Amino acid sequence: MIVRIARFGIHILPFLVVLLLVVELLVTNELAGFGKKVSVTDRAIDTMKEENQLLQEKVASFSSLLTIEEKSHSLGLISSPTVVTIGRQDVAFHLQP
Amino acid sequence: MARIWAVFTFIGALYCLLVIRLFYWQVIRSSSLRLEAASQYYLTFTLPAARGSILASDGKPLVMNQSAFLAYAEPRNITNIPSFASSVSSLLGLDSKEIVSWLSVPGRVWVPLSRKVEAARVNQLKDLKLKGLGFEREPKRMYPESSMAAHLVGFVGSDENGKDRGYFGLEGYYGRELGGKDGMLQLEKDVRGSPILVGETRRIESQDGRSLVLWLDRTVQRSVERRLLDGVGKYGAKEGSVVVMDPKTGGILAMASVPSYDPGKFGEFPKDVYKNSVVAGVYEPGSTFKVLVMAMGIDRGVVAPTTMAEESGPTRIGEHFIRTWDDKYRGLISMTDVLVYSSNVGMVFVQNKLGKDGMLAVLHRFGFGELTGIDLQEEASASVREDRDWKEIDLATASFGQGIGVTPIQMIRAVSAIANNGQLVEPQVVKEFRDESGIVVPNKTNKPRQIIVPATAKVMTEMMIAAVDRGDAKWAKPKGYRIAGKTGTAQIPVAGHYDTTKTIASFVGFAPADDPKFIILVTLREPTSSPWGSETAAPLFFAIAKDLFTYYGIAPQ
Repeated sequence: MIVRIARFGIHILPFLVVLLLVVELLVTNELAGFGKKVSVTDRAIDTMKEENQLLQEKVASFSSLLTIEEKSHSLGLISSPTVVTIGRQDVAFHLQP
Repeated sequence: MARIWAVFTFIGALYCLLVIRLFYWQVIRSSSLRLEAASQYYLTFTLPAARGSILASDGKPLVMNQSAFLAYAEPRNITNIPSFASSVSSLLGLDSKEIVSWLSVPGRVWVPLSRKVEAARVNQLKDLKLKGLGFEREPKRMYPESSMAAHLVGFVGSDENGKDRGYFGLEGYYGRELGGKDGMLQLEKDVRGSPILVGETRRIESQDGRSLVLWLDRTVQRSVERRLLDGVGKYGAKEGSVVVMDPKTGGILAMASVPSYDPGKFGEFPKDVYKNSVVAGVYEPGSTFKVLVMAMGIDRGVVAPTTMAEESGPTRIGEHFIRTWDDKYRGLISMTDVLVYSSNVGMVFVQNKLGKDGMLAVLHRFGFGELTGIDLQEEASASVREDRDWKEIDLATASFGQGIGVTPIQMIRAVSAIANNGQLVEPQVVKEFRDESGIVVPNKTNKPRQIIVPATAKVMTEMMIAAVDRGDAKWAKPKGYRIAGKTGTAQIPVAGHYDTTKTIASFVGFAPADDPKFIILVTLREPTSSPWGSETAAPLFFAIAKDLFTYYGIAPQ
């Protein structure tokens, strides 16, 4: 019985080797493909980061006081005129005895 | 037999040599060989850390990073160098002949053309589709508010190795915090030098620099810069500076100096404008110093606001005569009037009451002769003479702010103690630090020092209010507000003598006097419209104060 099993094993061994070689080839191929996916993802991340950076630059430029002032002037707004303040002595009720 | 021994000895000697050689390679040279081997099968990249931003108190950036590139050429891949040079020269702002000379040097395989080229310009260059032209990413500083607070933020230049480095202001002081820490990526490479994806990889992530959140208010800063520029022009001053501080926290709300520069184009300006005169410029404070001497006199109980001094003529100190600024003498005057009329004779009276120890206490307690500790790189302190070197005339002139050097930041800090119930704070520019993950760490806690009792501070505040309401600058004061302040006009020492035509006009004050929201110090160097602080620095102070009352919504008291 043992001899028969051993013989079967010897016969099947070449097929097993070929099968394992194919599996290794497939796994390696998959791994190589996975590396490509990683690099594509990395490039996508870089692009997004770049876009994010450009958007941050635009937000900063548009929200700067210089830009806001320019925009407000173009919309016809002007700086507030001289502010006049009054003291207590100028208030009407304060003048009453 | 002898032959056998000879051969045996020869072989033995060879064996020993072999062992020695192996010992040399495997033990003595092992570490260097390991490094050489590693350099052959490892590729190493630096992962640069992004520099932190500098943000105003509302979180809006004053300084941030911008996408930029290093443009370089590879002469081996360029077929026609003159044509290449003429194509890129205009976009890079370079001379085409210069580019040709760089690219024509034999043996050069990589030539840097221009640093910090902006993304839009790079896209234009890429559209030319020139062979041998390449780009490498490198960060660049961007200033959304243009040159706002230039002296405060400093600028980023290159060090001796061509790496970014901060100079002056916050960029210089917080170089390590802003710069972060570069990372590293190590990959195994194949025989052709390409990275092996499944090979050994070692990665040390970079740590981006921390961002600085300032006490500075953009609106206040903008208003101050505009008013200062107008004031310097209107009064014909050579230079000017304004600093606005919260007297309770020591937070710097605004700081400006003229002449200024654009930190994005710092190379186009003379180097002497880089230093911030508020922290590095020494001047004689003149009459603004009187409030500090008077405060010490009241604190020590040697004078009170109602104490009377004789002002019947000039005071004689040895060979010298101390006169009033207008050479008018009012007879008996109170200490309050000494400040109202800015009497030098009255201040010599206070100094005599204080004595030498009392006058030296003014310098030591109010922090003169030492750094204030403000977080700006170029802070300097004028040296104050040794205690034993003070002569009678030195003490007398110091009582009205002549013959003593201070920086504007030392002066505003000292006067802020009066506004802050007698507590001396450390001025601070940075409020908190923010790292890349958003974690906020507050700046070090300010530990105020009680230098005069609160009652003295209150009395001094009332005396300074009187100096504003009844002094020479009362015409410029906005009605209804309680503002404590003092004018100053100091002559400028030139070659050991005072130039009578050149002055430094200044005004220091805080408001609302009963619960101060801000303290402002204005200095104008050599104003030509008038030499007096009451006619130049004071109206500039009140113009800024009016802006701040409106901005903060402070109603007249």
